[in-house]
Amino acid sequence: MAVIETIATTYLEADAATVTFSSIPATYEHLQLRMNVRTLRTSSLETTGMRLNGDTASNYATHRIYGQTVSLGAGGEVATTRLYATGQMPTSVQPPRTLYGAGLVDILDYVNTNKNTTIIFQSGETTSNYPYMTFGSGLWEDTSAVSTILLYPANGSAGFVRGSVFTLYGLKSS
Amino acid sequence: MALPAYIDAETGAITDGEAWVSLASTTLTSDASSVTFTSTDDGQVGDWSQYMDLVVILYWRGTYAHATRTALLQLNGDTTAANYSIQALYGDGSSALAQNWDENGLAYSGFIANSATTNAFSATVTTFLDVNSGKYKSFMVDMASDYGNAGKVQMTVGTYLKQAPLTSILFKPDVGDILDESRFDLFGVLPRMVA
Repeated sequence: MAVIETIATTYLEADAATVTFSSIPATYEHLQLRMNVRTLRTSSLETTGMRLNGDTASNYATHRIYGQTVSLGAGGEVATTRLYATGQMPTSVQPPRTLYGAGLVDILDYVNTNKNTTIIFQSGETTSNYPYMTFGSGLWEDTSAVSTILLYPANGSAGFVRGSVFTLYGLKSS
Repeated sequence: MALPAYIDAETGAITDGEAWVSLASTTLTSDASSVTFTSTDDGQVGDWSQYMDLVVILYWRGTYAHATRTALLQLNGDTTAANYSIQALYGDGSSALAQNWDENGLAYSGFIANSATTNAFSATVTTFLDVNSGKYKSFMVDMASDYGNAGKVQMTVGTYLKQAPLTSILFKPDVGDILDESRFDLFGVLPRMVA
C-alpha cells in the first residue's frame, strides 16, 4: 500500500474560471494539493482562493507571512468567504508567459468531524517586478469532512491560464 | 527476523517505489501530557535506523486556558535546552518577526490551546533530516495556527546538537496537556542509493 496516492490531476488545456476536486474519498488521513498556477488577471499578482464543500459563507480565516524582494510582511483576514490556497501568483500581464507560480497545501485530518479544518500553505513566484514567497495558515470553521475543494483566482480575474496544473494527493498512515 | 514488505527477500532490494513508509499513528482518546514516538530498534518497519528522514504530522490542541501555547520538543529523551538551537520566522497577522534561540531550543514552535475557537487545531509538519548520520540533527517545522479571530504561522529550522541517531521524539506543551482528539502521524522516508 502506497502511503501517498494521487487522487486526481487537473491540467488545464484551456483557460478555466475555477478548478474543483469533488467526491474526495474519505479513505485517507491527510490531503496534499500541489499546483502550478498563472491567472488571467490584467494587473500584477493574484492570490488563489479555496472553498471547501461549497461553503460560500464567511466561515474562513487566513494568516500569513511573506517576503517580496527584500521586504518581509504579514497579513491576516478573518470571517472571509474563502481561504488562501496560495499567496501571490503570476498573472497574464507579467512576462514571460511560461512563468507560473508554485503552491503546496496540506489539509490535515480532513475526515474528522470533531475538528475544524486547518490548512498549511506555501507558495512562491519569481516575476521580475514582484517576486513573492508566502507561508500561511487557513481555517474553515466547520467540522464537516472535506469532500469538495474549489480553487479560483481570488482577486476577481476570469480564471486560471491554460497550462496551470493542480494535483490532489491522499496520505495514508497506520 | 521477518523482512519488511518493501524489501525483496531474495535480493534485499527495496521494492516499494514509494519513499514514505507509515510508521505510527496516534489519535488521543483522552488528554495526555505528551506524545512520544520511539524506534523499535528491531530491524522491522518501525526501526528508524533504516530511514533517511522522519516526518511527523501533528494536528493538535492544548488544554491550557490560553489561545496559544509553546510547543516543546525532546529528542532522544534529552531535556537539556542547551542542546537545541532554533531559528524561526513567524507572523501573527499584522507583523512578521525572525527570532533565534541559540542553544535554548526545547521550545520549537507554538500551537492552539483551550481559549481558541472551539474545534480549532494547529496544523504542523515536522521533518527530521538524515536521522542516522553522525552529524548534528537538523529539523524543519511548518506550523499553522488559525483560530478565527486571530492566528499565527511559523517556519522553524532547528539543530539538535548531538551526533547520535534519533531514536525517540517527544512532543508536549510548555504547560497543560494535549487535548483529546489530537492526532500525530509518523512517517519514515527511505533513501535510494545509486552508484
